[in-house]
Order: sequence, then structure tokens, then C-alpha cells
Amino acid sequence: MKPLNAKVFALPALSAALALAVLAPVLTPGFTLVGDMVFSPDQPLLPAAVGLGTTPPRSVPADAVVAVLTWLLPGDLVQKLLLLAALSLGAWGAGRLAPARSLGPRLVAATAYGWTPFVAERLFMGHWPYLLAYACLPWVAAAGLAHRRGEPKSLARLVLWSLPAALTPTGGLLAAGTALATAGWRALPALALLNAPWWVPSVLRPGSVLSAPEAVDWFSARAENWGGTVVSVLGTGGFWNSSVTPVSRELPVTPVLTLLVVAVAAAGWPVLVRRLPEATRLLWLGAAGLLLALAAHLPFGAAAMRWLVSEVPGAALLRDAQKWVAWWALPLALGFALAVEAARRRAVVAVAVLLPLVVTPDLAWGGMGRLDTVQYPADWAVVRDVLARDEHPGDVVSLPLGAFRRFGWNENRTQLDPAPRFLPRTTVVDDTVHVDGRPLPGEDTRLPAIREALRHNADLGPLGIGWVLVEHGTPGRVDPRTLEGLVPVHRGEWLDLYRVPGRITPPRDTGPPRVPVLAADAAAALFVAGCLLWQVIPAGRFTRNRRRGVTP
Amino acid sequence: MSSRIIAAAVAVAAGLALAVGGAATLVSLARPDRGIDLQNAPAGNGVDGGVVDYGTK
Repeated sequence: MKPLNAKVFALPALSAALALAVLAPVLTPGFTLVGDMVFSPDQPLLPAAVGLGTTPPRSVPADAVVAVLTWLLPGDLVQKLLLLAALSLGAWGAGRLAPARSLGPRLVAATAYGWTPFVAERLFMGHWPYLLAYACLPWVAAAGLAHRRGEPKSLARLVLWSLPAALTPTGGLLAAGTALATAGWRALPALALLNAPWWVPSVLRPGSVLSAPEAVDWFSARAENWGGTVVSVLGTGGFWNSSVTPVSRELPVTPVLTLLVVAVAAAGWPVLVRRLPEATRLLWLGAAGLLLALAAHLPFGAAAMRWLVSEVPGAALLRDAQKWVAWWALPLALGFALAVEAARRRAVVAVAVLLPLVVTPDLAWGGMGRLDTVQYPADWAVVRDVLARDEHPGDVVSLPLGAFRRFGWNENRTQLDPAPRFLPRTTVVDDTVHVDGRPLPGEDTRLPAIREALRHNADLGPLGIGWVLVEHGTPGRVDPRTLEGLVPVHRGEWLDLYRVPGRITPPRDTGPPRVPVLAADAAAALFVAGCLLWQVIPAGRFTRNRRRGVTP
Repeated sequence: MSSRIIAAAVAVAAGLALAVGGAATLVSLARPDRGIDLQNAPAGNGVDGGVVDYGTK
């Protein structure tokens, strides 16, 4: 029996250890509900999950994929597996991608990419699909470079590594940028097909997805310390929401440390380009990421961004600009690792491996207690069962109006309303977002009429609403007159459910047309299945033989 | 020569990192007990008309 080769397992072992160091408190039974991250025990597969809702498809096809996964596994286990993948694959991929001559620098690249302020801030904000996309970028880059070299089956590999990223529009664009930079424009048709489940409903949705111009300022990158916005972003931080910024980002020494790391990385870039000439494209992509992240802080940048998001449909994706810094993180990690290799001292390598962990220790242990697991109160299962069994038609509206909640049972963490991902019927929530108490209008085309009906205590039945859910123990007011004419079905400590009496008609506002959206979903699914098959069957050899004129 | 500069830079960065990490750990661990936060839980519906902020700039 051959002894285990430590060098083979060191990189995946380190990557797994990094993920465990962050996620240990999250691995206990229960759900981690924070910011935009909502999972439920048995997520329903509703029309909105495949792009047929009345809101922009921001979580398409992620919701559909999670719904299918929760058919097979408990929802909390699905969440833990996705988070473990999101926090381990990136480090592993960066280590594999680094063109280093020994294991040490690969480990340096792993921690430099897998343990960053970007990871910390997006995790604390609950942006798990972004983290999954971030984790896939080194693998997408490797597959893209292989495709450029003409390696067989590399296009299928590129598509399959882009798949977890393409669960959301932002992730899809992050992966597509990396894929196009490394593989070239010939990968574009494949990427367009893979991302069709979100861009087809976006294009066909009635009413353009435009944003209020002031959102650019609210969601632009911010200075986390005296170093200013540029230095914060150079260190892969600068996320707009100060409430998720780790304490370590605000200390006076952090900007000096950031500039030192960037300087060391810059010393490694010539080595990177010498050993991997195509990596120049990753450097340009990183520069583009920095430029986009800082666009609102450049001369005329804010004005241009305000015009874009308020006039160009779909440009609202540019609002939270700091996310593009994900493209910068990869060349930063690779350059840093290769510069450390040039130092040719084991002690330096060891210190460099540990450096990101010491710089941002407050990412460890679920952000030093920020993340934890909770169980949904029993009310939620009761309401879900009522809605599943009762034949009374209609969708659900969730009150108090507002997209975010702070429940006592979740230690008052700010979290997205879980109702749309917990209940077995389409649930309308007010998607107005508040930043510092200032409202940013929502984009659900059904909501204005429902809000008006609630304001005037009018009948909700003609708007397709057959049920009213009232969530307790969270800020927000519910007008008692709204509930007067409704039939109480369940009253609990945390939830009340009411039936809307009378005739319930189907909603007038509908999402995009069904046929093209479902066709896009089917085409993307078949394409992914084809790529999987392409990886398994020896078709690459067949192609090579045919090119040489050999009969297989 | 360049290798020495990089080694020195990494050494300096490590020293600074220890300072940052130590301070961040101390500050994080010295945060108030969440049990005390629970005493300030938001009021129930109908008592407080406030909204939940998505974030704070």
C-alpha cells in the first residue's frame, strides 16, 4: 500500500480547514439566516424561482436549484454544503492555478484568495451565491486558459465550472468575465446559453428594471479606514454596508498593510506573466474590476453611473459596484504567492500563508459569533401546512410591508423575509429597501396595487391575494383595520394567517411570457447535461482522431 | 536583492498583521453580550412603525 502523498492533499486540506475555521458555528443543526441569505426546510419550486415572477430574477435559477436540492436533502444541510463549497473551492482553485514550483507558494495563493475582506463582508451580508461565484473564478480561469490552449473538453469544463456561479445574474457575469478574459470571445455563445435562465426573463419582463439614481451613492464602495475608498477596495474590502465590515478593516494599520501586500503582489506579477503569459488577461480583468468598483468615485463616474442605472434597463446590476473586486482578488493572490516564492525562505512562506488569517481574524468562527444557527418557530411549519392543504385559492401577502425582518428568535439579525422561500404559494413582500432609513422603491410590478388596497382597506381578492400573513416580533406596523374583514385561520406567537373572503381572481400583473422563459431554462439544463456527458464519454479522443483522418 | 526586499516586506506585513489581528480579536471578543442585546428587542407590530434597514452606509 502506497503512503499518502502529503503534497497532493495539502492544498485541499488547507482549503477545507479555512472553510471549517469560518463555518464551524454554522455546522450545527439549524439555519443561518442573515442579510440576503434565506434557506428553509423544504423550499417550494414556485414560478418566480424559474424566472416567471413579477420581480426581477435576482435569485434565478438559484431558488429553483435550491428547491430541487431540498427535495433530496434537508434545507439546512443544503445550506451548509453550499457554504462549505463556497468557502473552500476558491482557496483550492487559486492554489492550483498559481504557476508555482513548489507547494508553499500554492498554499500562500490559497489563503490569500480564500481568506479576504471580500469573503468576510459578503458572507456577513448573506451573499452566498456571490461567494460561490467567487470560489469558481480560479477554476473558470483554469478551464478558460486550457480552452485557449486547445485542450480537449475544456469548453465543457469551462461551462461546468461557470454553472455554480451562474445561479444568479451577478455570479453569472463574474464568471463570464473571467471566462471571456481567459478563453476569448469564442466562449460567448456557451456562456450566453448557460446564463439564459436569468437574462431571458430579464429581457422579456414587462416593465424595465430601472433603479433610482441615488442608489448609486448608497451602494457604492466606501472607505473603511483612513486609507480611503481606493485602499479599501485594493484590499478587496470597501463593501457599502458598514454594519457588516469586520473590525479589523477599521484599524489604523490596515491601509499600510494593504499597500504592502499590493506592492509585494506587484513584484510577483512579472513572474506570473513569464510563467503563464495568458495571465496578463487576468491582470487586465483585475484592473477592470477595480475600475468598476471605484467608478462612482472617479471624475464624472457617479454621474455616469446614475444615468446608467436610471435609464438603461438592467444596469441596476452595477449599483453594488464593489462586487467586481472579485476579479481583482485573483491576480492579487497569484502575484503575492509568486513574489513570496521568489524570497526563497521557508519562514517567509509560512508567515505569508498565515498572513491573511492574522490580518482578518474576525472572519473566523462565523465572524466571531456573527453567524449562528437557529430553528424556525413551529408557527412557520403550521402555516406552511395550512397553505399546502387548504383549497382556498390565491397568493399570500406578507405583513408588515417590508423586505427585511429582525426576529427575536433569530437574535434580531437583519434578514430577508423567509416567507417567499418557506411557504408553498407565491408570497408577495414589499421589496422596498431602506438604507439608513431612506427608502429605495421596489421593483415588484404587483406591489403598488396591493399597497394601495391595503392603504384603503380594499378587497385583496381581485388582486389575486387569497391569504394574509402577519409576522410578529419584527419592526413594522400592521393597520388593525386591514385585518378586520379577514378570516383568522392561525394565530401564533410569531405568525398569524388570515384568509381573504370572497372571490379570488388571478392576478392581472404577471411576469414574463412562459414559453420562452421555460424554453430558456430547458435549453440551459440540456446544455449542462450535454457538457456533463461530454466530460464523461471519450468524445474528445473521437474528435482528435477525426481531425487526423483516423477512423475511430 | 529583490528576494530580500520581499522577505522584509512580508516580515513587516506580518508584524503589522499581528497588531491588526490582535486588536481586532480583542475588540470582537469585547463586544457586548448578545443576551443583553435581546433585552432591547424591537417592539411588536402595532407598537413601533419602524422599518428594518437593509444596511447602513
